[in-house]
Amino acid sequence: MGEKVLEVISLRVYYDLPQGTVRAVDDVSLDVRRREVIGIAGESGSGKSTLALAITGLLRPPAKVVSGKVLFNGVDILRLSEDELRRIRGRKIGVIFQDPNTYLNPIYTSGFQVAEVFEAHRGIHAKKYLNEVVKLFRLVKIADPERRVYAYPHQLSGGMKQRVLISMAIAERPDLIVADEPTSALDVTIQSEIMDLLAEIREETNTSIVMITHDLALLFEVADRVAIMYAGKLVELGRASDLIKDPLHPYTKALLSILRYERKKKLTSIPGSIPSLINPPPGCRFHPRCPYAFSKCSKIEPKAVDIEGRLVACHLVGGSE
Amino acid sequence: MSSVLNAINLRKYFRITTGLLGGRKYVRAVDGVTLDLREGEVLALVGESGSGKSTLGRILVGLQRPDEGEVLYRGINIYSSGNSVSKKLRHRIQAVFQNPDSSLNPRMQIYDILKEAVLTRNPSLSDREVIEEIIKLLRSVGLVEDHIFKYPHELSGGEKQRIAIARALAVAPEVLIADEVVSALDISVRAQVMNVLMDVKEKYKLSMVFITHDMGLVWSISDRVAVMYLGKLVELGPTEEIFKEPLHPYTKMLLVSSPAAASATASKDLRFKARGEPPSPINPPKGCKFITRCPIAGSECSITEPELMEISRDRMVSCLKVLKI
Amino acid sequence: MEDELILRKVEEARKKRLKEMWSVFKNNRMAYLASYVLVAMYLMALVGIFITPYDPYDFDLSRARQAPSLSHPLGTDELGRDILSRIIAGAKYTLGISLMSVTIGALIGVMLGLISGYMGGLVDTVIQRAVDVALAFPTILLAIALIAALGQGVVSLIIAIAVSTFPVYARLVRGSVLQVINEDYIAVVKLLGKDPWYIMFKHVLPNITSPIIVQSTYYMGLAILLTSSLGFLGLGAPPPTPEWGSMIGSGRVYLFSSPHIVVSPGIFILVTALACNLVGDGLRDTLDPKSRMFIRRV
Repeated sequence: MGEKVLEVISLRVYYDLPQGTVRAVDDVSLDVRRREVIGIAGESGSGKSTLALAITGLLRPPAKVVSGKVLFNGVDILRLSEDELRRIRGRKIGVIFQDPNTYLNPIYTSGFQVAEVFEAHRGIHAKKYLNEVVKLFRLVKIADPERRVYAYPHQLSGGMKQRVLISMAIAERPDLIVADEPTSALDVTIQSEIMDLLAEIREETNTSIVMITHDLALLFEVADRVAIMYAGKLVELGRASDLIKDPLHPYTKALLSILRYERKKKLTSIPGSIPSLINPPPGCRFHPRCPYAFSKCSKIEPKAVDIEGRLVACHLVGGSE
Repeated sequence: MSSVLNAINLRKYFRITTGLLGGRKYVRAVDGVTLDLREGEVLALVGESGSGKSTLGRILVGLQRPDEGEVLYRGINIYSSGNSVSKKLRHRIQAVFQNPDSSLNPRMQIYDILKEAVLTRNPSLSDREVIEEIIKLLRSVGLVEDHIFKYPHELSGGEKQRIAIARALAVAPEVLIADEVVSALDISVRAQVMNVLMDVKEKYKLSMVFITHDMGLVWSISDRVAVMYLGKLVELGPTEEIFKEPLHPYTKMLLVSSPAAASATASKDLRFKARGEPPSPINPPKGCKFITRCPIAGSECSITEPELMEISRDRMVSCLKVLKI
Repeated sequence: MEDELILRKVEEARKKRLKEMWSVFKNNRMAYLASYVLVAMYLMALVGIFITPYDPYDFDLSRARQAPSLSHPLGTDELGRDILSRIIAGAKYTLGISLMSVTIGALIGVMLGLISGYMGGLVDTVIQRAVDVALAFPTILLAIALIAALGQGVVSLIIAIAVSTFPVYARLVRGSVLQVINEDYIAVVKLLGKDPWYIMFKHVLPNITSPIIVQSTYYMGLAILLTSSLGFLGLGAPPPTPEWGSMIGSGRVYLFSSPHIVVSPGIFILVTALACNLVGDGLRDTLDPKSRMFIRRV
């Protein structure tokens, strides 16, 4: 690890809607190093999905990049043309989406759809690549791969469909895999298997993985570093093991204490609700719900500060301004 | 402790028609389930997709007539009169469902939704009394009266679920079936709604069947756990015992796979890491249905199907390997 | 909060919702305009008989087939009757017949669709097969056959068109009902112990009104065309009824010599049917929730 595969620098992505401007990603910076698994956690309205779209070059109007860069191997992918993006997507950056039912075409066999990835990047008709697809299926632990390449999506279980999507993502041995809620539609036991698979893939290849999810507990099982997003902002970023032992940001603390299910005790809840991104609260976006908020919090936005490798955006931690 | 609900040997099969000439194939959604809900307890009903827990929930609440078996409410068969539950018993068992967007009629204001439920219990109330009752219900789920004139699409997921709970309470039930009520909500909202649910359970002295796949929630609120796999009950017992010492291989697999349960379980037996695929519900394998994924399956497991048997006081398992001990 | 205040606020919220829908509708300029055109046409149908400049039935062969002029803005027809007066008087036939028939067809079709979709089972199968049979007949042929059987006249016309329209309503409503009954709020009302008819009318029906309304406006346009087609074929209201289609029918012979006889009623039919379709489009955009909400994931 060390070398940076992806660098997000002060990214701002807003949506222009009739009801107002939604500040979905508002000045977010983070980096992804080679061979690391970095998790991005957040609830709905945190901006994590928009961030995923930005990283994979899939932003479409009414989303617009207001400022910032996304450097992939040094090149700002936000400034690339659609053609150039297409050469990177699938080849250098693989994407795994949430719901395999929406992302697999029901009228083509699973093998054909994976072969299309090869066709897109190497030319020649998809059918020629069936052997490679079988090899891929074996890699992602799909049982009986020679038969399964001819199976239609509806003939496969949820877990298997997701493995097909994963095989599509790793087909061209990309440098970076972006997984947007890859297991949210799956059962918990299948989820666990898919997580193990992704960990194995990271071990065997040199890929970095960005995993975006609302399931924070899942990330702590598999990620090296974890980033926490709230209302379009990055509030904390650090090593998973450090974060879980010693969360610094009040929001992280609150989330972790909710997940520490205690027997027959009231669940710690965070009062209030997730703010609107059209009119976010002034100052720190979390301050209306924060038990430690003081006067500064409602006036000045805290900047992310580096504390021994941990990035935190909170007036209570380290300096600000 | 007496039983409020008694489910006896419930079976519900759904017919799948395959093509023009295809024979009749059945999905055994609920395949011989017997359990009881004790007064004042929270019974967690756990399982993944295809386990039949939601179908079982609907049978228990009176929405789905079983093909075989009975559901007794304090000894009375709830399905005795025709296809639906008898009027007298109808309000005793209520339910709250998973999807907040589907729980409330989009064309009705909260006022209408709650008024309908309130008047069902007591048709002779005046407008003023109805409003008082509605305000009381909203308060008990932590909402303010401003919500009365809103339409469902103006509310957040957590608020909608709380209204759904309020509506269930309006008819003064004794039993509440909560089917994945927080699964569609954000983590922070989940906590709020769970707390409301538990408050309400205490205040109104309810007995609750809590259907979920989240083992963390099971640890947090349940007294007993019933684990389902492919339509059958595989383990049943007090929560603390099951978490400390799970017996059925599937229960162990669930606990190992759930990151949320990490804080509660003893050590993780990694032999039971999730593997294999659940079998087809239409063509299940012979013998024990868990055989395709079980790390300790023996030859006898593919021949005989295990029965749910009592292994110690108040604990039941259905596994040949475990029961042999 | 005071109880009366609460009740008032409930009313206000309800009215606000309707106002919001109306302003969304107004945004669609074409639909907005078209709705005014329709209102004008219906007003004409209602009060027409009092505002005709001439007696629509008064014929005088000496005045026959005069081109449009100041005294007769739309000219005179083959029997010397003022065309403008006949059009105004005829509005109530063309529009009235189509309105009545679509209403009757809708009532029958919606009822059948509701029962079919909600009850399911044998009832559903029987009703659906009957609908299949009805749909198998080409509309005009069915209408002609019915008129032949029932004899000519306004009532037969209404029945014929109603029979042609109810199957589509039944199908449409059944489809919507099937979607709605899977929703949890229906299950919950069953938990309150309400009977099927209560659930069908108080909970299912209000949630399927959008496709019904949109279909009805389209059908209005279609019914107008159907009415005038039958009138054109001479199967409509008997002469000398100034139904627009019949006017075209009887004036057909003079298509090349005195085209104005045919053109005016034709244009009115066209404009009215078009207005119905435009209003239908506007309503569909207003009532279809998908067009209102877009970005969900942020």
